[in-house]
Amino acid sequence: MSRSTGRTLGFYLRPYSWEILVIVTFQAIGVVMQVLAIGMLRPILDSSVEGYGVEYILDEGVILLGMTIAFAVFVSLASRMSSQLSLSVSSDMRRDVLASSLKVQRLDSVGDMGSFSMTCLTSDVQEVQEHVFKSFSTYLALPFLATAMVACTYMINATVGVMVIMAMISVILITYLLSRRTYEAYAEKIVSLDNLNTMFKEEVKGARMIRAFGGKDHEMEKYLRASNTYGSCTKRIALNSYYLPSFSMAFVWIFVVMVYMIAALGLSSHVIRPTHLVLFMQFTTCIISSLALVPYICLSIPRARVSMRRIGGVSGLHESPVPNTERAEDPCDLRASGTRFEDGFGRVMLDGLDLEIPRGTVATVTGANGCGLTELVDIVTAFSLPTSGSVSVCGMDVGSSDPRDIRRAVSYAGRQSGVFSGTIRFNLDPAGACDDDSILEMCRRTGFIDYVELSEGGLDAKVYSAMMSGGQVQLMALTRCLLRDAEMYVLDDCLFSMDEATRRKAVRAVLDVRRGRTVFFASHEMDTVEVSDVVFLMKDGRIVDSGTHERLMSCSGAYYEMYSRSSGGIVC
Amino acid sequence: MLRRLFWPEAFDLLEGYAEKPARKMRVYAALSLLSVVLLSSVPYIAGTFINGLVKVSSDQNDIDLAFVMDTGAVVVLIITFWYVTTSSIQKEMVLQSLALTRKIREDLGDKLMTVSIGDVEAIRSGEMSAKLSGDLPAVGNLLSKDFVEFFSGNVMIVMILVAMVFVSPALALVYIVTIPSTLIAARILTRMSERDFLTRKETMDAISSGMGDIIANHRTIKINNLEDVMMDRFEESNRQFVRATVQSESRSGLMVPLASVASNFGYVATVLAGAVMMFDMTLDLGMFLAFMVYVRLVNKPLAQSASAYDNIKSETMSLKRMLSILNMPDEEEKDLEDGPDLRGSVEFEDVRFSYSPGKEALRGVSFTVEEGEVAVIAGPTGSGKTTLLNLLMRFYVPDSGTVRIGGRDVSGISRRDLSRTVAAVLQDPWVFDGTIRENIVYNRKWVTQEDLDAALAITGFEGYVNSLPDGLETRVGDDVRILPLAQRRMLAMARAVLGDPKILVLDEAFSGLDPLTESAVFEGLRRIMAGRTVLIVSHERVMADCADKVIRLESGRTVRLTRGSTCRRCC
Repeated sequence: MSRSTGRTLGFYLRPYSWEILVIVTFQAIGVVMQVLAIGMLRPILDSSVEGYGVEYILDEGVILLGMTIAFAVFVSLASRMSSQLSLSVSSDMRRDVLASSLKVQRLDSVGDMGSFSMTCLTSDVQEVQEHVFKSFSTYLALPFLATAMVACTYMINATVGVMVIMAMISVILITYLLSRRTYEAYAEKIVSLDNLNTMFKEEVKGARMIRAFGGKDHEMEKYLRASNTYGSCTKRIALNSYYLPSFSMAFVWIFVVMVYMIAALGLSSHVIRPTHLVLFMQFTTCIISSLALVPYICLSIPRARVSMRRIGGVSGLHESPVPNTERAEDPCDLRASGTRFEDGFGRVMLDGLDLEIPRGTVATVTGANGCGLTELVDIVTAFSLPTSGSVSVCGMDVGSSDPRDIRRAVSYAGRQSGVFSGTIRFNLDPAGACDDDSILEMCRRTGFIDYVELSEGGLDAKVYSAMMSGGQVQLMALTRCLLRDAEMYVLDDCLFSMDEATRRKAVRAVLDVRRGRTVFFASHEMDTVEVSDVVFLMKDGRIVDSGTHERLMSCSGAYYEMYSRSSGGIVC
Repeated sequence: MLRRLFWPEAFDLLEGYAEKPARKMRVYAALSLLSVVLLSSVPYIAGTFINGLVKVSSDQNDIDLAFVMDTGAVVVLIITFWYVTTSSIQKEMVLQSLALTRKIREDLGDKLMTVSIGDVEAIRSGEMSAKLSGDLPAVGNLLSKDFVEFFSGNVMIVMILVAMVFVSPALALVYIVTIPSTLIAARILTRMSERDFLTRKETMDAISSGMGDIIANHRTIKINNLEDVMMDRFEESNRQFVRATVQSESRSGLMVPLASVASNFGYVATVLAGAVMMFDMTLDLGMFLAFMVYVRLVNKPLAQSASAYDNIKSETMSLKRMLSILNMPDEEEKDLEDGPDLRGSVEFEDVRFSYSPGKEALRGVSFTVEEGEVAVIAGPTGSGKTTLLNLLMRFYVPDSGTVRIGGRDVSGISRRDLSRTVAAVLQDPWVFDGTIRENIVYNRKWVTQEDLDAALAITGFEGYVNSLPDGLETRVGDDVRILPLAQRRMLAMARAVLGDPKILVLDEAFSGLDPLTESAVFEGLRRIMAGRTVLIVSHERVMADCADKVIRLESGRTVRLTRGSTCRRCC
């Protein structure tokens, strides 16, 4: 259903081509300044050795100083801009990763994205950001600098120039070949990091169970397995790369010594002048300090590439295009005809379901667990599509409409409602559509006001998932649902954690504030069937009976069995 | 202050946590000192060498090839020695850092399972992830990369300065004068950037937990069409992060260019002074060359130390954040002895408890449930029912009063004994990623297929499992492939029953089930309740009928204790 366009780093850099151009220019100017500064050494040395006089030396010194300052200014500017650039790119990436994980409309395509996008956001983006920064602030100048230096050396003495070129090529080649060994391990490492992330999440979420079952050793065993895989990948990378920087340094140094041996022989045969030797030394030490970066580049490029591929995979994700929603006039807000649905395990959960809920009615669909009710609600809220047959919600066909349009028409509260870490106000009215008075008024009606008033700061109090009880979360979800002005309220078994008095008040609130709109309870609570205009009894993926609570109690055996127990309690 | 140049604050922290790497570091520091001393003599040797050649060529003598080769060999040897010591130090440091990060990783996993439940549940989603992928590698780099670079960089700088003085005191003076001004500037900058690093990490946390929020509340977001709102909210923390980073980087990012400016000014000054001195014949070409090489050479360690210093700063923050978790107090003393088998009675004696000071959740609860009794704990939402269980399972420790199981104070019972005696089905059963079998068996490897079948049959989970094509081997999870609530409950019950516990605790285990399923599950439970103590927490009145005892709670107090048949009327 979803496919990826595989965004590349180039895609993210494109909007900043102007900035990049400026950085490149600055870096180039910086290089020119640096080369000229070394070149200035020659006339200064000449003036000194040939004895032209101190005033010449000082004049040339002023020019040298100017160049050095210019160099520093341009390099600092380039570095500053690179930092900005890398940050902008990384923030764009983060936004895209998040946007595309939000873009997934159907539940079956969410897949295992949870910890994957998490690692993507924290680790991968960081990696790429660092790479971009280093590339533009440091690495970029490297080829310029090397070329300029080599050209200068070559112009002074061709033989020495060629040798320096050879040294450069061999050090780059050797480092590249050696660093290749870490590539594979790096890709593995990221995957094991995902696993480790999942383990951490489980340790936090399953904290109670782990303790209750004394499962620490068991969990530790599992955790250590994940941790060791990660550790061995890190170890492989580290052991294959730690020596690279000093190795290439030593290599270049030895090579340079060789070059000087030969140059020295040239000096004695008067092919090379002593001042040239000083210049060579300056150029080569400059080249060496740039070459010292090569191992770092060789190590960081593959990392950045792996991370970028992962980011690209997530951020380019998009669903197949959704057709424009066509809305038909329909006196029923919910209409299912011949609907079939097979769940992920291949079991038939809806088997030719026919259901009509006319506009403005309060309806309950009820049935034993596993009758297909959950699946029906998933389709009504456009999280799943029927395998065959059709479902239309407020005149929109679920299969051929934009899910967002359906969700605009429907307000939902369900058993899986979560808590956003943030203020109570945000949790109740995330869209920011209501003023405090109407929020508080709604809280008073549903009874959530008790919680709000007990919290320090009222609506501004910060909440997070672990601090609220099941009943409080459900009540908050219901309040949020009712605050929205929708055409149909879908209340999916969202009252069961409340005690009786709270629940009764909540149901009352639904009826009072529904503004004449349709209410669809998917539940088996006594309180909801009693207040419904019509109750549908579901069994094995089909509606088997319908009518008012009173009618069903007297006519339907199965229904009577359910609710006689419910009212009387479990008979021992 | 001087000590800090070679021994960053982080190591004092580390010494408290893991002594070994910190001690070893001193040894390796000494070794690297030697190799750096040797290496820094190379330009001096080269200078003498050139002087010799110049002299030879001006005397019109032939070059002594053996002299050239000997000098070359000495230099190559020195470089090789440097490489061997440096890389072996690096290897050792890498191994040390791997060992340290491994220890931290393992301790972290261990910690999460031993700290009190309140501390764990206060950890926001995404926070651990940020720690794992951000802070842990940072701590690793501290040892494997940045400390070595910082230390050897500083040693190198000192050695080069010494060598400079040795080559030409006058030139060295000129060069050294240019350095302090930049160092002072750098110091001020890092002072400021320290604070920025903190905000940067904090905003990064905000980003991670924002992401965690979004993943956890996927359905709620979609159903309310909140994609844009959530994006805006995320963008806000994203922007904050960028702002904080730009601020810190615009200051600390100046470090490297500043260091290069410093050395470049030094370069200009030396070139001029050197040229003048050569003009005055107070300096010869060879020594001038050696000095210029030193000036060039000092660039790299200067930049290296500067950026390593920077990294160490932020890595120290990471280390502190790690240690803050690792130093969280454990919930219990680990050395509780396993005792004899416990009896199944439960006793609360004037138990008081509050989650946060001033808000008492339990205000003096007392009751006794004898072995084999079925007790219902009833009361409205927020009356402290779940808190009661939290104390029984020792998720929390009471502020005053005692909780006893089998006549023994819970705080003196080992976790192992406790888990063998009490099994709980909690309000929101946790299903982890794995097969249904793994989820039910969990850590009890000795369980046979018969035990498993019996547990499935008794809880009524059998029917559902059999309807799945893969049966017990079906993969289920927490984010995806979520089981319906009723099935999660049944799974949790099967899990609880499997351990044959003396005390069975059911926390709202029946809410959300339809009446038919509920009674089916209950029938099964009745069969296994025989001979066990059962505590049923429920806000439903219906459960009261079959209880030997009803304990009614209201705002943290036991308001009524009713016995046997009378409860039908009172509830």
